[in-house]
Amino acid sequence: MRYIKKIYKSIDAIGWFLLGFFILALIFVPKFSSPSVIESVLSQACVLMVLSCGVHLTVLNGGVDFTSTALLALTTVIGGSIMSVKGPLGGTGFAVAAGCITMILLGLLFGVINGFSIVTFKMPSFIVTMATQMIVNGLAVVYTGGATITGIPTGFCNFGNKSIGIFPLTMILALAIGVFLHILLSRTRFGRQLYAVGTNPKASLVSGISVKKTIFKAYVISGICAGIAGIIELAQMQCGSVNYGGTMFNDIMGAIIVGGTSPSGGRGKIPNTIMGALLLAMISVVFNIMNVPYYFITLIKGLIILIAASLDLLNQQKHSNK
Amino acid sequence: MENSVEQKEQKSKLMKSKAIDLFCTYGLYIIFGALVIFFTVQEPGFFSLKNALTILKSASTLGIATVGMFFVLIVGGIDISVASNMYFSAVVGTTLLNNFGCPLLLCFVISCLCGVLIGFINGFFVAKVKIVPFIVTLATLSVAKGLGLFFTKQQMLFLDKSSMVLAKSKLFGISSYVFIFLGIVLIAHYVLTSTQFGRQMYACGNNLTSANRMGINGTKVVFIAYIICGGLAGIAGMVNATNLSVINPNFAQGDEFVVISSAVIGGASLFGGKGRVLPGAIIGIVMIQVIINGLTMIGASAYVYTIFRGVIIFLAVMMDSIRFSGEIR
Amino acid sequence: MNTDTNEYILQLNEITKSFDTVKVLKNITISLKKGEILGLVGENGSGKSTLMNILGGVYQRNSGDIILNGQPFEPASPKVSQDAGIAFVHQELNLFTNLSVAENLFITKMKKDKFGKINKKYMNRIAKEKMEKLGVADITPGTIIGTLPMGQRQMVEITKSIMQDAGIIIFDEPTTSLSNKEKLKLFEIMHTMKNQGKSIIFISHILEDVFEHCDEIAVLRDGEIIAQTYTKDTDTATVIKNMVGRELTNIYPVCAKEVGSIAFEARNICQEGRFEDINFNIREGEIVGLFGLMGAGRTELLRCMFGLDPMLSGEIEYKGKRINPVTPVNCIDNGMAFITENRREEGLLLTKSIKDNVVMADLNELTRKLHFIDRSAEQKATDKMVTDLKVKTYDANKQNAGTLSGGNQQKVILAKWVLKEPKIFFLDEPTRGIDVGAKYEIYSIIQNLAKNKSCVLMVSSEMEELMGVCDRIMVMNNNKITGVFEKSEFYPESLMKSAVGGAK
Repeated sequence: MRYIKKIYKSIDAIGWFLLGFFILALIFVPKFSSPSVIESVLSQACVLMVLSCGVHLTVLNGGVDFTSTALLALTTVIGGSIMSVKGPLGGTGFAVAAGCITMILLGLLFGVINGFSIVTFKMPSFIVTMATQMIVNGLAVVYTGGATITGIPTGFCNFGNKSIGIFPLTMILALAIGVFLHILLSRTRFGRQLYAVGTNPKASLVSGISVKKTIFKAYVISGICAGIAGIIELAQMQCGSVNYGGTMFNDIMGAIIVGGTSPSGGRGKIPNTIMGALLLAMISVVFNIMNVPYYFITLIKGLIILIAASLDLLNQQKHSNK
Repeated sequence: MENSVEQKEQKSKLMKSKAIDLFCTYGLYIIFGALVIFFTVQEPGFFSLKNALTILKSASTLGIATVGMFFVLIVGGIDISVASNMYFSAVVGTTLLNNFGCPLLLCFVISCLCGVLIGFINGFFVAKVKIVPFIVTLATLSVAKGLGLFFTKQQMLFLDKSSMVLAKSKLFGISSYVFIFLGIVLIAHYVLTSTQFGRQMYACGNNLTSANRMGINGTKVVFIAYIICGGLAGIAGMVNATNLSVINPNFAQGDEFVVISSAVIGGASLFGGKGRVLPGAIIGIVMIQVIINGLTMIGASAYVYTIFRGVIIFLAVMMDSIRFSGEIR
Repeated sequence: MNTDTNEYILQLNEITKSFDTVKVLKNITISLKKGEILGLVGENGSGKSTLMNILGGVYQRNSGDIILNGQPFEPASPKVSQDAGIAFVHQELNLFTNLSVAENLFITKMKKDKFGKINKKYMNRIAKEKMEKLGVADITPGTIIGTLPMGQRQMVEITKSIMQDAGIIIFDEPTTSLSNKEKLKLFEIMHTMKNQGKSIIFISHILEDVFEHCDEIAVLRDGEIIAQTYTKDTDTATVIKNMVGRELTNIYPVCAKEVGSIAFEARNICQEGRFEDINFNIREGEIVGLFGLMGAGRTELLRCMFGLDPMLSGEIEYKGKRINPVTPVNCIDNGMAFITENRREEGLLLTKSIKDNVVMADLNELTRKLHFIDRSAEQKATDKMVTDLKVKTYDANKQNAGTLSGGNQQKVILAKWVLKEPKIFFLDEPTRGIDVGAKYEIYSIIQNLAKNKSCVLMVSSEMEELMGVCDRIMVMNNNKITGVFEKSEFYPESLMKSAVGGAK
């Protein structure tokens, strides 16, 4: 009984939103309760989840990482072309592995570029990551000339499409990343340092935490997560394309802010962002089923961010006045 | 003995910081000059009067939005919703033109008001609720886009032929768009340099706390800056629409970065308190447009210039940041 | 008190002010005569800024009245205060570095024509006039503030105050960033203003200046006015006594310990524009006090040796091993600890739990394989510290550091460092703003550190505290060490003499 109470206490608002929305959807949205729909929600949530968790680390520091969506495009096309390369090694497990590793390394590379610029030149994170986003997008288009990359090995695609019951295989990877990041933030030294730096960089410096290194690492990890998200996207879509990720940033920020992480930094747990991602994926699928026009979806997502951010601020003020 | 060693160290430190300072102030112009030479070598037609006029015309649309961005940057904010704002405002203006036969001037006014609406939302959440500007404008980006798509039902929207008059009209061989742009630059210049309100904008961008202490209504000043930016984006949208004669669902997609880059290249700082619209806005947008034009002329794929845009804005902001970290505010 | 209200331009009666539960101003009664320069002295934390901010309309007082020119006065906002003729020359200048001198002076009241166009010529001319009136003729009104040195920027700030034809001008520590020449200029201006009939409140910690230029001196300590007297009726020693003397009920723990040989050495410490060749040492198990008045350079010395501020040259050594480079990370790795003056800005994560704060400097030690934090060790350490240092909290894992009392906050910061069992411990005003009971506990903690063979260097403005706790006291004045006293030489008069500049 005590254990149940403990879990109950640790669920934040986002958990109740998610549950509430899920129940409402089950009741009011036709076909929602069918297993294939639930499966598609989970499937769509995977990429969003991994990206959001990565960006979460940068938001903890009061920053943001816009490059992650563009990295979806770049990594899927380059990774995809490695996997489908013509020749003796093409299509083998070796090619798949090489492709995956390259994708992660690409994410790492741009994470390093972002982190370095922000820490060394003190450039505002939103502009730096926007600039790299443009460059990455451009590189992706230059590389492919606009064409999609096909011919992805079937074995790899199976990973993207098969499920255990309603539970997609890709969700396992996504949750694994989520769990890994959660443990990283809550149980390791780096996590403590990141929260400290996001709360008060001056006090962190006096206490011996290397502020620059910590911020740098956050952006590198975000980049790596983008690479992994690319692997999932490639497997699910079975082709690499420069069009991936275009409008995803709203969902990412929505997942993070609705999840309860403050844009000004210092607090926010990964599980909440995971639930935020699930919620946003659910909203997208529900809108899809109900044939809600695209314009409305865009409008609503913008409003969600505004309202969530305002509520977060009000919440902060309430706490500081106590 | 120790004195001279110290002096030498001081001297080299000073020289180093001077070199960095020079690089930051003039670096972009040097790069720009090199690019112009490169383009001319590849395609001699680049460096011609006809081309210059073409560049000026295409620069004018986004140039108007750049002027608006100056206001927001000067008070220390940022607005990434300008492109969607342009789309939404152009759509409403065009709808009035097509369906109600409104005179073109009235359509421009309505577009401006639509822009002001978006600017109002931005200003409210940034200045009053005090949410971080890039999150607010990221959200309004979607809201404005959504509204625009709503009115067009996500289809293309063609403008009534009557609007082509404006696009074709010229004065002394120069497109009238250029005059609209220059006119707006001059008005903005006047407001920013010769009115108390304009000077207060610079004050708020430099030190908002001191501004409030001195009795300036910082909230109001920032609010109005966003409204002005929105309004000018609205006008820019309608101008762009009359130029293209059609509004696609991806109208002005990605142009917010062109506008921000132009402003930063033109001398505005992301950290607030700086920037002269005259000649900054003109230089900024023209430089970017020259590069776009040059790339097109040498036959570079459109994708290359996305990379260029990213590199340019990166360099511009890097220099801005280096310069800022050396300031004593 | 003189009831002839014509003589006084400003009277404050029994002003109190609290922030949350902390009473910052307990009972302020002070008066300013017309055409007089009143010196207001008091150390950091005595309530000077709060009092002036209340006058300036930034904060609202809790009780008491203010009488301006014989009428009750309500400074409801900065604008009200300004309009009533009170001008404030803050320590942090309120200037816009991207605008010109004239624009800064006129920023809310520019001269416009019919269409709103500002008349630059007019503003420049008036600015020039006002500056000349003050005796500041060498600044062109069109110059951008960002290009002016600090001294001239301050002149502009002062000019602002006479722009509004203020009757009362408050100077808050105006000489801190001025060269000697600029200081002389400042005092010239002050006397010019006095001759023009203005009344001035001059806040400064440089007693020499206060005694030379002020007609009356008021001493503020712990939120109360201890005394307000005519300058000619008092002397430096009395004023210092009033500034720092506290309840003599402080009890100091007795501790049996051994002081060993020299363990920490600082040699030839130089900082650009401040320190020239500072040398001292600390023995193992010794508590060395660092006494001095505000602005003597004590905090700056500690920050310099910990790597928070740049050190031009010099060496620090522990037991013969040089600590290099001097950065916070490296110093901590070599066993140093530093409790800063400003708890809230540099000492605590206010929105995080006590536990998070206690462990934040010791993360390396608490890390096990694969960078995991040993949670049980973390919990044990927190519990031990909370018990040992007697931190009053309902739950160290849940309560945020921001909601603790000042004394408990300081204990949490102490806990953070004590956890690391540092060999070299720098403390900057560790008991400021803390009640007597908590102070005793903190003294015990410090003594224990020394007992465990640490070297302790403790900055304090409270002479009595240092005499009760330390084995040796160094005194600083004007960025130099002016005296070193062994326990047998602890006499308040000698310490004071060193603190105001007399070499030992």
